[in-house]
Amino acid sequence: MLPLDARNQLAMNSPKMFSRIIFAGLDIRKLLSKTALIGGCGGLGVIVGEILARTGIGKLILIDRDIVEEENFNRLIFDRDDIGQPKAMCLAKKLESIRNSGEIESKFHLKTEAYQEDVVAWMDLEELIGKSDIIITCFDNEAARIELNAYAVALNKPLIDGGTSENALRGTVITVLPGKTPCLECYWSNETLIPIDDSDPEEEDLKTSILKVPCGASLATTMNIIGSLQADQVLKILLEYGELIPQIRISLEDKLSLSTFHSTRRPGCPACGDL
Amino acid sequence: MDDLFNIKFVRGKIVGHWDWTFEIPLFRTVARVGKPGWKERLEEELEKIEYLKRLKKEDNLFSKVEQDPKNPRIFYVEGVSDNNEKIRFNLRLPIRYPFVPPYAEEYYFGQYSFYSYSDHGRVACLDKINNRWNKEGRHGIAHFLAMLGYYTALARHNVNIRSLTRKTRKRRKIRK
Ligand SMILES: [Zn+2]
Repeated sequence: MLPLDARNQLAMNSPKMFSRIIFAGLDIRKLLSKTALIGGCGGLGVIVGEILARTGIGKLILIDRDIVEEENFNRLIFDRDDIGQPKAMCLAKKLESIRNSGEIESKFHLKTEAYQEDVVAWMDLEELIGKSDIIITCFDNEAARIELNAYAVALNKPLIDGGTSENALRGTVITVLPGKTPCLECYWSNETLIPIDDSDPEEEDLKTSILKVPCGASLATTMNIIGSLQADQVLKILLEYGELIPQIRISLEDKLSLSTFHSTRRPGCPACGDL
Repeated sequence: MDDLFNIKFVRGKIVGHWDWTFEIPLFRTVARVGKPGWKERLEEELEKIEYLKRLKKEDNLFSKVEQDPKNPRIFYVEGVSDNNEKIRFNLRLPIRYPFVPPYAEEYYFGQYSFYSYSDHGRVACLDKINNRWNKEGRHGIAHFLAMLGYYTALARHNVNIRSLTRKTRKRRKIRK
């Protein structure tokens, strides 16, 4: 966090769009030198992407295999003109337009790379993760998450995962610091990995239900909270302040709640067991 | 197991396409791609794919399975569906394979999308395959293709895969 007296000085020398962020104590000079990779540009990815772009991240690498469809409109950012376009490219364009204008010095511009790819067994993934400072997973399936998790752990990159439950009212943020906090494979043992079709929520075991991925149902309310919490953990890691929490769970069901969990790594985890 | 019997019964009556999954022996070697033991595993994969082809040629949808020469985790699959449409897709092996099933990229049959959990409110057969998959890694590509062919045939004859699942879940509960 910036000391109070340094904030005014930095705000005066930065574009106006960053002044409030600097007054909050975030050092945008540091952020401008960082690259974040966002896997999945759906309901969560667009939130994390927009927050990071507006907060001053230097570069975003965006990956999503899908195109924009009308059923995505319950979440934010995409509109009718975007239908049929690849989500990653579309998001990159929108985020660049927030920052990259003629009046703003180019060193404050946002750089992006966008890929319409399926990350499972994708050969370029390792290189992209290698050149990122932090990995953010916002996918709607486990295979993609586990894929990024494996490379993030092997290349020692922090990873922030977000997901919401099948009924769209609960969500989880997992912060992976390789070798320190549990990685995604530590949580998804063989017994808990496989999603069972949408049975009654009350008969679901907490452990499996909380780790389920969004599929049919999704709500902007839950997604925005989860996406914001992911972005918060990203900023804390990149700017080295505040507490990192291995697992945060929220619920917007009848009883509103936010709880934190400090679980330990699973011995013999295939991804991080050797660290 | 009882749900599989149930499906066979339905399929035997309506579809006439057999589920070959149980006739392919389980794998002896369990190894992740690129990890120790993968070479032996790959040999066994090819051997079992051949085994599946020999089982019942006229019913097997997938006649060609080839590994990408550059990427060991992608296979090209080709075949002909039971209504003589050409089938072509990439089969991708997730990093946790064989503890989780492979998946068929961009594979659509009837109104079902294979890889999407929910397609206009319908659950794809991916869920069904996930539930049946051997969690110790003893199922492989051949088992996957057998299941995929079977569900493709079911979907083509408008059997709602999800309704089968629902029925068996309820039955199981009563028994407890
Ligand atoms: Zn682990």
